[in-house]
Amino acid sequence: MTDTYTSVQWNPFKKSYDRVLLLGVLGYLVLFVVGGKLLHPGGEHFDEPVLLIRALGTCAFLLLHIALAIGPLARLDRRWLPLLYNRRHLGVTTCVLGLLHSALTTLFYGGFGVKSPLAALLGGYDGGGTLSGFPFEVLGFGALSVMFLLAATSHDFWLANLGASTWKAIHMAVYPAYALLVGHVALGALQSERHPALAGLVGLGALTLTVLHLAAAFAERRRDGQMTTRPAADGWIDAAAAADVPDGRALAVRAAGGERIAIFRQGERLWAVQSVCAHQGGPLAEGRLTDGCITCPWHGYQYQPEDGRSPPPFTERIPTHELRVVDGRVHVRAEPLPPGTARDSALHSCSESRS
Amino acid sequence: MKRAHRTAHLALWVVLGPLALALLWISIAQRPPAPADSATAATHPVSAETRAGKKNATTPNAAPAAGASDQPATSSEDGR
Repeated sequence: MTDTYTSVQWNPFKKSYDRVLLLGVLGYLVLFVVGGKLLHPGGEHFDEPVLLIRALGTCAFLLLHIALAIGPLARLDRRWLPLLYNRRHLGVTTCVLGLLHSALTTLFYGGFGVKSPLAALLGGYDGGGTLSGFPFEVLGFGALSVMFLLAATSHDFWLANLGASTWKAIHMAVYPAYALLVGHVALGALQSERHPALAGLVGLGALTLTVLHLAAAFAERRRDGQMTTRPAADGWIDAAAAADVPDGRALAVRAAGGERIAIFRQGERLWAVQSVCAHQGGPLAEGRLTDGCITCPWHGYQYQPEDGRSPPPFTERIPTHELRVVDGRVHVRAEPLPPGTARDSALHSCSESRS
Repeated sequence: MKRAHRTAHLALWVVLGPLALALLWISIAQRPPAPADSATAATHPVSAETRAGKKNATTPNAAPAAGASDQPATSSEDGR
């Protein structure tokens, strides 16, 4: 959240994250080029530009794997959440490395010729109908175009202007981009580099990401099923016993076909809000009350539980739900109120209700 | 995440994960046999890029039509 515009809100954690990222990338590139020269001394095909092209490409591919693994890991185990905080920095770095790989490749293999470098690199499929001759550069170019779009729109400026839902939908294009990159590597480098370990590593990466994402997605579906309740005819859901809502935290319920609802408790006061953060759709029900505000576990965005508004001067809003306590049980209205709506009866005393 | 995004996420990985793995499998299975000079084939950095005469790492793209340029066409990959 920002009060006045700041392009990047640096904090010690963010600086450490980026420092580790930068050092890791530089270390990988140096190790790859120097290692390549040492392993193949005097090898004319292992000159610096070729090694650098390969180092940049493999580094970008590796970073993309890490970036794509963080999301499902954080969904499966909360201990991975700190890595999620600056995941976009990984994505932007991946794109920069990909651009350098692409530029260097285009100039090295396609430059100084009769055709334009891009036409030389992307055109002229003559594979005789075989997969092996497929112009794999086109796949890499497609993936890089998507990555560039995502990196260019990764800043919160675009998130605020496009809206969280549209932004999230656009950024899911990173998954097709990953599939394009697997094709780029499989039909490109792996056609000439025949060591089984290389194909094995690419396969292991794709398999790991697929299993992680499917496991996280099915775990979410299972959670959805466990918390789903059909509302009564009057639109109220009997969610849980008030005493079962953890103090300072939330319990999630969901009306069939609706979004998740987070019921927060602080002492004897209870509130219900939609469990979708206005920033990036983070799961508010997995957050906690900090300084009297609901705090998103993903990026720390905060909302007042009374009205679903971010504390001034911030302006984010989330939908709220009416809540009542009947005989010690929490009931919430399935239909959300407009974002930022204060509820007249938002505060309840559990002890009064139980009496 | 919103419910719609969770559903889209699952659908994407149900399709893209197996697709990526299948593509990898097929591309390896259909790989043409290595050239007789296996030492060169295993280490040659431009063999993929220049296969089927598609790339020309020397002059570097395709040779011009006769008379269109005085730039010499060459099939050597080592003249760059």
